[in-house]
Amino acid sequence: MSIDLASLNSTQLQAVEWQDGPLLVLAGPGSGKTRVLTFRIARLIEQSQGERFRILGITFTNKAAAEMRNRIDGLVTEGRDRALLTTFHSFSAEILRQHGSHIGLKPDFTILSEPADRQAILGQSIKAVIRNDSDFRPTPEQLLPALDRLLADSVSPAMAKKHLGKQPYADEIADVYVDYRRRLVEANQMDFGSLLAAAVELLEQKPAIAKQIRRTYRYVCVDEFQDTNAAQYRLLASIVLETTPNLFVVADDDQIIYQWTGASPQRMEDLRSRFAMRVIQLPENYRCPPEVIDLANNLIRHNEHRSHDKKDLSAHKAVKSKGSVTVKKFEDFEQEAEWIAERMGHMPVSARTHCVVLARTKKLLEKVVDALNAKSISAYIAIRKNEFQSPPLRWLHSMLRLANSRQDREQLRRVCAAYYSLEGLNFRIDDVIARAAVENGDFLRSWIAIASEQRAVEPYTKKMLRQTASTLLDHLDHWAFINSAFEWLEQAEANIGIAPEGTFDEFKEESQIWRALEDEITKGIQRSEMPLHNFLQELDLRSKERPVPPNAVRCFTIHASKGMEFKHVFLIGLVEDQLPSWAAVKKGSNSQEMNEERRNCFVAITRSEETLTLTYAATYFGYSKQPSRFLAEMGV
Amino acid sequence: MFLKKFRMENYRGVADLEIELDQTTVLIGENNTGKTSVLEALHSCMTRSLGRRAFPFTEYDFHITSAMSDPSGAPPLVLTLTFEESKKDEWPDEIAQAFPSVMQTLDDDRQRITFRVSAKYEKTVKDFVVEWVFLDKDGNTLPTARQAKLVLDLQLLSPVFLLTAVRDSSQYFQPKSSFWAPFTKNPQITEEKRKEIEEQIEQINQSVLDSHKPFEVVKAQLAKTGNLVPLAAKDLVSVEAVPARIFDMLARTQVKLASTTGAKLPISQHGSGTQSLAVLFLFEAFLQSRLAEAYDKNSEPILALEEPESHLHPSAIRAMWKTLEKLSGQKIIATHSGDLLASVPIFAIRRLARRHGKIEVFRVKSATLSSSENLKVTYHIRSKRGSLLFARCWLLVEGQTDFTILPELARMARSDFESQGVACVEYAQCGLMPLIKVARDLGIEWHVLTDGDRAGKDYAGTATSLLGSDKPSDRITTLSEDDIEHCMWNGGYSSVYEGVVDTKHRSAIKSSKGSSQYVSETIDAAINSTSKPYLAHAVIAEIEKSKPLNIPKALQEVIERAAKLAASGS
Repeated sequence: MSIDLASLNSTQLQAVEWQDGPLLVLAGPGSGKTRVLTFRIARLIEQSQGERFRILGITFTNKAAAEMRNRIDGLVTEGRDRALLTTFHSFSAEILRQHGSHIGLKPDFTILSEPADRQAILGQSIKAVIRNDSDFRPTPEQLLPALDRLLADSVSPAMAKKHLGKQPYADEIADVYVDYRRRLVEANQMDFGSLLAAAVELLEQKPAIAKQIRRTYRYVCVDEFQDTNAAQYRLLASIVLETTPNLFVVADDDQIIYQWTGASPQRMEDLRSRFAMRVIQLPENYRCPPEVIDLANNLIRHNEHRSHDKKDLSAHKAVKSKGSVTVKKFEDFEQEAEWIAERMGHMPVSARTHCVVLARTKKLLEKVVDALNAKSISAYIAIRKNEFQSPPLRWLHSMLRLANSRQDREQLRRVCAAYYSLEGLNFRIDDVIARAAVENGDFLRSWIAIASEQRAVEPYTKKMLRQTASTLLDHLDHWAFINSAFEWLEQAEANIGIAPEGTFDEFKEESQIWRALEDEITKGIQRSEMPLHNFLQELDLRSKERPVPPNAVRCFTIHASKGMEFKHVFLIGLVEDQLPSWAAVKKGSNSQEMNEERRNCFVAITRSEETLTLTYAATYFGYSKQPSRFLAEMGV
Repeated sequence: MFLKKFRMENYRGVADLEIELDQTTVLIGENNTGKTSVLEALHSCMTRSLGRRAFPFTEYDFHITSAMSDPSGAPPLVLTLTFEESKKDEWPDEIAQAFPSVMQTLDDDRQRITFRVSAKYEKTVKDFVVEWVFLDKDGNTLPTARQAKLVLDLQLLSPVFLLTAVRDSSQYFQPKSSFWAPFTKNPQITEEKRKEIEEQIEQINQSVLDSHKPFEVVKAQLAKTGNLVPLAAKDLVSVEAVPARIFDMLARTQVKLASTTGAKLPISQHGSGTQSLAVLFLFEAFLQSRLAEAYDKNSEPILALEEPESHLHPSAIRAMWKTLEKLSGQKIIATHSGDLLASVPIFAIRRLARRHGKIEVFRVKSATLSSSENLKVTYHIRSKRGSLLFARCWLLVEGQTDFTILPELARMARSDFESQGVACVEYAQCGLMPLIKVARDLGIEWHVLTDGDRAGKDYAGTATSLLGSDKPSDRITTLSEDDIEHCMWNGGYSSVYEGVVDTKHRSAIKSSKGSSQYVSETIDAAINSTSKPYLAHAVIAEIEKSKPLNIPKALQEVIERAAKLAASGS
C-alpha cells in the first residue's frame, strides 16, 4: 500500500485500519481527526481497486468537503472518483435530482437561498391558509423560524399538527407548513431545510431508493457528527443498514455548538445505542499548548450530558516555554477592543494573519473591527453571503438561472435590474414577458431579442449578446456563456463612465469568488460534464462570502471558527451574558443552554496553537457585567 | 441488464417506433419496415466510439423526407434505450454501483436506467453533433456529472454485438475482430515454453530458407537500404517463412474446416452457409470464454442478428435456432424465414408494418391467447406454416376445398395472392377465435369466409364478436349456399359434380333434378365417388376454361376484398 501510515499514533492507526461495522471515533480538538478520516477513505479505495462500490464522506461544510477531497486526491491515484465528499445538503440535492420525480420534483429544481424568496412563498401560504378574521396573522418573517424548526426537527407535513401539540396556534402553523412545503414542490423549488426534509421523506417512503444508495455507498463516513440535526440524522439512518452498518462517525460531544439549530447531546447517545457503535477515543491533542489543554479539561469537566466514558484531553504538543495563556481585565469594552487593536498593531503584518479574535457574538467583533480599522489595520469578519451583491455577478448569475428556468419572473427581474446598472438600459419586465408570448414563453429569448434591438450599445456588448444567443439559446453551453460574459464585463468595467459609479466596486472580488466556487464545484470532473442545473444548485448551496484579504486580522464568531486552528487566539468578552450568553444565564447553571455555552468556550480556546489570550471588561455598552463563570471553571 | 424498450425517432425511414423487447425478440416485416434499422441503431448507440465523443451515425441515418434538400434540415435523430429489472432486486450490486446517479426506482421498486442518444445538425458549428443523456422515470433529463464514464460502463455491461446478414467470415476471423481478437491475445504460455517454441520456429525458418534459395537475392538487394538510411548494423534483412514471435503467430492464426474431401480449407473458402454458421459458433465461443475478460464479469451481451437464415438449408435453420436459444444474453433477430419462425414462441415476434404511411410495431400480447389457444396456434400456424406470419392479410377459410380453390381463382382473376401478401388460412382445425386474435394483435388484415350452413353461421358469429369497430362486410363473408361446392354448382359448374358420380354412388341420388335435395345428393355422391381435393381441382380446371372468366360472384368479391385489405396497410 502506498499510503504511509507511519505518521499515525496507535489509536489513530486503529481507526484508520477499521474495516467493517460501526465505529464512533470520539476525537478531541486537534487530535488529527480529519487525517484519520481521509486516510481511512484512501485506504478503503486503495484496498478495493477494481471494485465499483463507493464511499460516502459527509462533512459539515462544503469547504471541509473540498479540503478532504484535496487530501484524498493526494493519497490515492486510482479510483478517486469512488469517494464522494459532500455535505448533507448537497447529498440531499443529489438524491432529489435523481429521484425527485416520486414527489413531483423535476431534476432542475431551484434552491432558494435568500430568506426574502422564502418569505414570499410563505406569505402566499399564510394568505391561503389563515382566515382573514383569525387573530393569528403572523408576518412571513415572524413565522419563518417556526417553519425552520419543523424542518430541522425533520417533521413531515402529515405529522406537523401532532408535533406542535398544544403550542399556541399549532393548527394554523401546521397548515401553513403543509401549504408551504406543497407550494415549494409545485414551483419546483426547495429551500435548505426542505432539501433535507424532502430527501428524508422520500427515502422513508421508498425504501428501495435507500437500498440503492446503500448498495452504492458501501461505506459511510461522517465528520463532525455532533452538530447533526434530527433531519440529517434521519437521512443518515436511512442510508445505512441498522443491523450491519458500515458507519464510521467522527464526533466530539464536547464540541456541540449547534444545539440551537437542532444538534443535541442525546443524538450521540442514540447513535451509540441504535447502531451498537464501537468506540475509539482520540484524546491526544497535537495542536494546543499543555496549559490550554489544562484549561480545556478543567472547563469541560463541569458539563453534564457528556459521553460517560470520555477521556480527558492529553497534551502532545512540544512547547518550548510556559506562559502561553494570558488573561486581561479592562474597565470597559472600548478599552478591551483598543487593547486588542494595539496588540495587533505591535505585531509584524505577516504575523497578524495567524491571529484570530473570537467572540460569542458578531456585535462585539464589529467593535474590534472598528478599533482595528482606526489604526489602519485590515480586519475581516466572516459573514455568510447567500447571493452575489455586485451588479455584474448578479447579472451573470440571474442569466444562468433564467437559462435554466425560462419563465422565472424573479430571475428576469434581476437580469433587468442588473443590466440597467451595467448598461443604463431599462427594460420593463412586463414588456419582456409580453414579447415572450411569441417566443414560446421563453423570457430569456425575449430579453435577448429586446436587448439586441438597442442601437446605442458598444460593439463589445453586441458581440456579447450574439454569443449569449448562441450559447444559451441555440444550444446550451453555459461554460462558454460564462467565459464570454466575463469577457464582456471586463470590457464594460474598463469603459468607465457608462455604468454608474460603484457598479464594479465589488466586481473583482466577486469574480474571484465565482471562479473559486466554480473550481470547488467542478473539482475532479470535466467541466463539460457538469450540467447547468447541477452547477446552479451547488452554487446555491455555497456561501459567496469574500475570501480573507491578505494580512487581515480575522474576527470570527466561535461558530465560524469551527474546525479551524490559529497560532494566536484572542477570546474577548468573557463575561456573563456574553459567554455564557444571556439566555443561558437565565436558564440556569444546569441548563442545556449553559452546557452549550461551556462547549462554545471549549471550542474557542482549543483553536489555539501557540498562545491564548482571554479578555473581559467590567462594562459592555454601558452595562456592568460579571466576569464569566468559565474563567473560574478553567482555573485562571 | 435487460433492455426492455428501444425507441427510435427520426432514424432513417422510421419516424417514431418503440419496441418492447423480450429475452429473445424476433423482428419480422417486409423490406423497408425498419428491421435492420432497429439493429443498426441499437448498435450505434452502444459502440465504444460514442463514449469517445465520436459521431456514431452517418448523415443517411437521419430521417429525410422529400421536402428536405439535405440531412442538415432533418429533425433530430433520437434513440432511447430503457433497461429495466424484470423483477425486483434482479440486478447485482455492481450494476447499482456502476450507475448510482442515474438508476431510477419504479413504483414497484424495480430499477430502471433510461439512456438517450440524440444527433442533429448544429448550425453554430456547421456539423452534426451527438449528445447523450440519462432520463428519470418521468422522462426528465437527469443532470448528471460524469456522463462519459456512465456511457462507457453501460457499453461495458450491455455490449451490443451486431452480426449482419452479409456474413463474410473473414471479417470476423481477423486480428481486429471483437470476437476473434480476444482469443489470440494474452498468450497463456510460460516464458520458458515461449522461448523454446520461438527457438524451434527459428530453426524451421532457417531450414526453409536454407532449402529455398530465391530469397537470397531479395536479401542482398534489400540490404542496400542500409546504405541509404540508418538501420541496424547486423542482421539487417531477415525473411521469415513463419512468424518468429508467438504474439505475431497467434494474431495470424487461421481456423480451418475440413471439407467433405478432407481438405482443410480456411473458413472463408467454404460456402456462405458454412461461413455463416461458423461466425455464429465463433460468437458463441466468444461469449462462453472471453466476454467476461474482454468486457466485465457482469456483462450481459445483446446480440443483434440480421437474417441468420441466409444461405442455410431449412433443417440447418432449425438447428441453428437451438444454438441461438442457448446463447447467453439478450437476442434481437431480424428474419424473413418461416422456418426460423417455426421454432420461435409467438410472443417473441414483433411484426413491423406500415399503417397509414407510418411504421408501427405489432405483437401478440400474452393475455390474448389462453394456453390451449397458444398450443393450437403453435401447431397450426407457427410450426407448420411460419411463413403465414409474413402475410399482409389472412383470408380465413373453413376447409381444404376453399383453401385449394381460392388462390387459384385469385390467380385467374389476375389478383395473385402471393405477390399481394394474401395468405389463405384454414380455420376448421385450429378454431377461428385464436387465429383472428393473433391476426388482430399482429396487425395482419383478415377476412373470414364461412359456409352458409349452421356451422358456418356459428363461425360468422364468432368473427362478429371480434369485429371491434370494423364493418362486418370488411371482415366476414358468409356464402348464401351451404358450402363452396353448392356455391360452384350455383355458379354454373354443376356438370363437374354430375359428371364424376360413378355407378356405385348414383343410387344414392334419390331426388329429382331441379330440387335442392338433388343438388346436395349429387354433390355428396360426387365426393364419395372421388374426393374433395379431386373435385376442387376439377372445378378449377373448368373455371380456367370459361370464357369470359366466370367466377362465382361471392368468391370474386372475397378475392377483391382480401386484395384490398392487403393493400390498405401501405
